[in-house]
Amino acid sequence: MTDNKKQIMICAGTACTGPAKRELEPEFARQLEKHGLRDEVRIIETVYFGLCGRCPIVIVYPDETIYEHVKPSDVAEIVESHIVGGKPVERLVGGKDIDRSRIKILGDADFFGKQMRITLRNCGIINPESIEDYLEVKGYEALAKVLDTMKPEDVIETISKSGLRGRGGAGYPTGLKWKLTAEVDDDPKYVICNADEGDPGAFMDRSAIEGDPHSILEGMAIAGYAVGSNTGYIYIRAEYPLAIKRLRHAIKQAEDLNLLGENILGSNFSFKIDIRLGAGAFVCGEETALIHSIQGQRGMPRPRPPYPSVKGLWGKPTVINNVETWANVPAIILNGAEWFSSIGTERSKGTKVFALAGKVKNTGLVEVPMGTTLREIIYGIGGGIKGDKKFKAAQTGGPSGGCIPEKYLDTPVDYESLQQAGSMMGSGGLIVMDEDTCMVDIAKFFLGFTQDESCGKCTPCREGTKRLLEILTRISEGNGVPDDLWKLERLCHTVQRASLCGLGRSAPNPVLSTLTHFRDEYEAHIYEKRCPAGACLALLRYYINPEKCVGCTLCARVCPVSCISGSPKTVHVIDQDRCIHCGQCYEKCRFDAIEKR
Amino acid sequence: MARASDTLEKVKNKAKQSQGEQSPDVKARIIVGTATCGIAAGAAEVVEALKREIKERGIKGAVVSETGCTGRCDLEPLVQVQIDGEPPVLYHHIDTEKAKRIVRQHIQTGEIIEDWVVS
Repeated sequence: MTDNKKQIMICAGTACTGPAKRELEPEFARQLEKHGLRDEVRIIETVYFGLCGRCPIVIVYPDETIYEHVKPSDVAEIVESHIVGGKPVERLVGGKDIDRSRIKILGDADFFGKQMRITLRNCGIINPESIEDYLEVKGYEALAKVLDTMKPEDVIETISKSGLRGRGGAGYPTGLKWKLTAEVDDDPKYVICNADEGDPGAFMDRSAIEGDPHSILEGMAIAGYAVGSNTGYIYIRAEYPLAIKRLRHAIKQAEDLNLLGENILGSNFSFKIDIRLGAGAFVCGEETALIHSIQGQRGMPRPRPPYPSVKGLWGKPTVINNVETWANVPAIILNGAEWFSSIGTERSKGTKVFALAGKVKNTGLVEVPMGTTLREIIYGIGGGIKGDKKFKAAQTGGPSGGCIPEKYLDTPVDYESLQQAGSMMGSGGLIVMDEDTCMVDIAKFFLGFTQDESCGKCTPCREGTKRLLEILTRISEGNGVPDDLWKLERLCHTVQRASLCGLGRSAPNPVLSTLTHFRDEYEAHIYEKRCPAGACLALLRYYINPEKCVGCTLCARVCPVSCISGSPKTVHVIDQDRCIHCGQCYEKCRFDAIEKR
Repeated sequence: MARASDTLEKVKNKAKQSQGEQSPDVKARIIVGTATCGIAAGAAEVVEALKREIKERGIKGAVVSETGCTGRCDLEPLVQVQIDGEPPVLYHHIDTEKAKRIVRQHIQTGEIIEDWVVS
């Protein structure tokens, strides 16, 4: 062995997960052991980027030899010939076309090994402010392919066949949407990217734009060609300054290289993209409200039909898709509809990005094939619950979604299954809750959000969300009455059925799903005036256990309202009428004598 | 009419050339995640610290660049070090002091700081 220590890297990415790959690491360890080199050579499992399709991949350093399609039976030969003898096994060497400086790792196998990246394929890999970087990873090749070899109807056919559905939440088939716009005999037509991401805790679109803005521009240009539009708008909230800056920069770069603008790449097709900033109203994520906002009007929805595909921006046919949907388009064009439709479940194809947040060990952004179970996402990729507490519920779909209890953890992630479990896909927020979370409080939180964001145009949403919030507040403060439960349910159904747009129609979901799956918690609040999770402050009671209290007087001294009485070395007592439930005594007691009930 | 893909090929070659001219002898690349999650955790300062340290120590052949979010928002700022002939190394929770040590230790002496590696 020379100074340059040999290292063996094995790629553990999803695309190539197979039984053979799992055997590679132990097999390398065995073979190295045989030659007495186990301690000399490091074996690292990681997730590489950009080498998919050649898997399983093994890279030997320092000479950076890339072995493709390695089988466990090849390992002995690699170790003997290359590691010991210094001679690479030529018949397995591949990747000669790969620029070595481009080989990057995504990170650890635990987090990335189960993921599959289509939307986020370039995020964290390329420099988002460098169009050269994007060109290097097949950037704008899909657009060139479309211009050269496909008729507009072929593009729509490919997108339809791929099975791509809108990633904004509702899951409308993207190909069909484009087809409707393409078929209308009207001019001009528009293409819109909905980047008005507003769910609390969701940041998928922001990261996708900040990490890879050109994919979205390319996707929009392809749609422009397919439906016969020359103008695109990106509607993005002003609270995303970095995303806006990178988009502006990307548009400028693309125009400079004639990848956007007049006669793109010397063809007859022209397409320009402009940015419109939203002021942060949640309702502007609804497509008709968004269109009003772009037109300079107040962001309010209007009844559909007519759908924007037929009568959208300025009354003209408009294709409107979400950021994640757009980012999928170039990948589908390049790799084909069959490739995309081979990923996912029967009715939900491709992958979905989730913003994993809440009481989970690894928070962040994950992209998984449709059909992955919530358990795999939360316990596999997410690493389980923080502080080893007990899982209580997973909230998907933000304020429009619902809470999914433990018994549905094996629900595969797709549009229909999540709906059956009482939630929805939504745009991709996934908040994990543990035993310390009160479900009444959660419902109240989301209702507070939707009530605040309701635009006020239709009565069921404006008044309904307000009354729902009032009832929930009452229950959480210990003033709930038995009648409240059916009142909640009845009002929820009215708001669901009678509201004008998706905001109102989905606003009751957090209440209904918690009422279905965690009814006992509502009942405890109403009948026993007790919050089982100990989260609703007004219902919290602190008691001193006389058997544990030694009379050290510490609690009485830290109590900010002096409601704890007792002399030294005698049992202390909390005056419940004056207690403000601040929890200071509970935190400070050294004998665990203070209990929450 | 020229095919769009041929025109794209020309655009690419031109872009590659101009990039090659800017950095002819790069042996080491330090890549910092600077999406909003990274910047909120201090990635912008890390980029500055890396650049300053490389300049002050007069190191040739090392460049600092930026990238988006890989998804490990809780580990930001993330810094990836790629040296020719070495496997790429990913460091987590890097601050300005740690950034300086990466330059001093990993870039200058080639020694990986194992404690900070994502594993």
